[in-house]
Amino acid sequence: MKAALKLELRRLIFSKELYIALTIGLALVVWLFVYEVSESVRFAEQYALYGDKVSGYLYYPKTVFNSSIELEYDALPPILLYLLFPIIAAFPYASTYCKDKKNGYLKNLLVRIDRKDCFMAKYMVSFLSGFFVSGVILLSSLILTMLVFPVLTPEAVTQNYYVQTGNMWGELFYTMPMIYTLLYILIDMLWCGCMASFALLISMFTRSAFLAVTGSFVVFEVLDYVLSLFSLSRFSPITFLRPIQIADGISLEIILTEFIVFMAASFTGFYFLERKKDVF
Amino acid sequence: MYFKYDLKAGFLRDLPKLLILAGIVLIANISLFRYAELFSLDLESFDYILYLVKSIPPFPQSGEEFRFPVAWYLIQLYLNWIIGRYPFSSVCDNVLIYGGSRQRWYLSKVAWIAITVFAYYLVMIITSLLFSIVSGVPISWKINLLIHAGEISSATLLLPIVTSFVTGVFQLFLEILTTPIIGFFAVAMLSAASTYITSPLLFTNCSQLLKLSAFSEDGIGTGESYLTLGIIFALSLAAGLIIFSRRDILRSQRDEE
Repeated sequence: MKAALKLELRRLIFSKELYIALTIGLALVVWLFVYEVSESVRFAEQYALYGDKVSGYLYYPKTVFNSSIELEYDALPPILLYLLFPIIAAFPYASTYCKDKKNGYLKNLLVRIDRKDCFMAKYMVSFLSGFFVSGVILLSSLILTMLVFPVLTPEAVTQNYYVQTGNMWGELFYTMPMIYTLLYILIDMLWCGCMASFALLISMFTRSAFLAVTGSFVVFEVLDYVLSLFSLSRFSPITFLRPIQIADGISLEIILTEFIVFMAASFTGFYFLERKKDVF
Repeated sequence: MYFKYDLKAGFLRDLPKLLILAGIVLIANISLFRYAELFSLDLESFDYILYLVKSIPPFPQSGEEFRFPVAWYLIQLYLNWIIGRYPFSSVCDNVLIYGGSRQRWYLSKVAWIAITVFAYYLVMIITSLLFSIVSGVPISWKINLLIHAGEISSATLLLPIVTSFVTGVFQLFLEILTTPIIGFFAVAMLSAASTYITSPLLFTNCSQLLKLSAFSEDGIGTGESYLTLGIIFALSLAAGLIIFSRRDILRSQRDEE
């Protein structure tokens, strides 16, 4: 098991797809950072000219909790990032199984490594790839923002924050915002791992790397659309992954239950069913 | 030879995938029907078709919150997904050798994209019309859902189809330049960005009716849209042909694997 895991981890670390996914995610982080800083500079210039009342609003500074990619609510980079997370998470590793089937590498692998170990290692590394990529992107944004913006405890009355006190962990956000942010990043990392694993489930049915990587993205988009039509957006992973909670009624029970369901589906399919298929 | 093969292996084999599109369109139509009933709107069959490509007005509107146009995005995304899958499948590489001309192979793929886009929109229109007939919605070409300044030209209404075709050709070029996955990803990102930023440079704006000047004051003009799409099409086609004719296919296939 250790050897199989080591082998798959090596493949992940030395794959160019991992660095492409990280580059795309980090480019969005830097884009938002530049946008936020330039907005703050523009506001500071206005403030120097007009004092306490700029554009009819009382002055309230930009903080880490409304400027990082997790908690910014009206800029384009977070919209793109959270919309494209299923594909960013699946991109580094999910296509390897299809490629292994197609080019015969899987056959060579299975004569040297125990089947169970091989499939378990693939599943674990797939989960880890999504977990790692999303973690690097989200934590980079948080750290980068903390270099420039103050870590002020949010005040609901300023209406500068999208999270409401009635939302899941709303009270926590307005009392211990850093704990809220880190907990939500952990949820996002777990879910991105889950999305990458779900791509493995799709790769059971195809030999095309394109379908394996993009399939889970399309599935989550269709799910998001169908649920939004029935006012059930709180059940859509694309919606509840955003820490600003853009839908009402999101709860930890929903997030965890769906996580377990998707993980169980992908694990059962890939580890128990796919493992038994004849590759020779 | 190429085109005949593309029709068989690309278009006809992918036809069942259009059933999913019909499902998406049906769900969107049901939701609009419920909405029209709730707010007592008198909608007709053409409104149900336009609803699928209307998207949202240019953002930011004063005091409005950004609402992502999921229906429009999903419909465009699914088309790009269908287009992204086929051209570089390994089967086609063997066909390329039999045909003996890279230029013709590439142009055949462009023709295949045109037919796929046409069939895609045809399925959308037929599904909406069937829904209208079944649900008792009057069949007409009148526009009630979208507020417009004057007479809407057919050139404006054809823009979503033309834009989808040009986006497909652009995606094919990106696939040649990089990989099918990166090409699809780039187009998905472009489409998402165009819902937020209104500019002809993000040319997928031209397939969103509410982003056009015929429907929004600060929208993009029809002439401007066609000019942009023409330039993107010409550049994508020319660059795609040049790059593909010089590409080491065997090596790039090995890299893919």
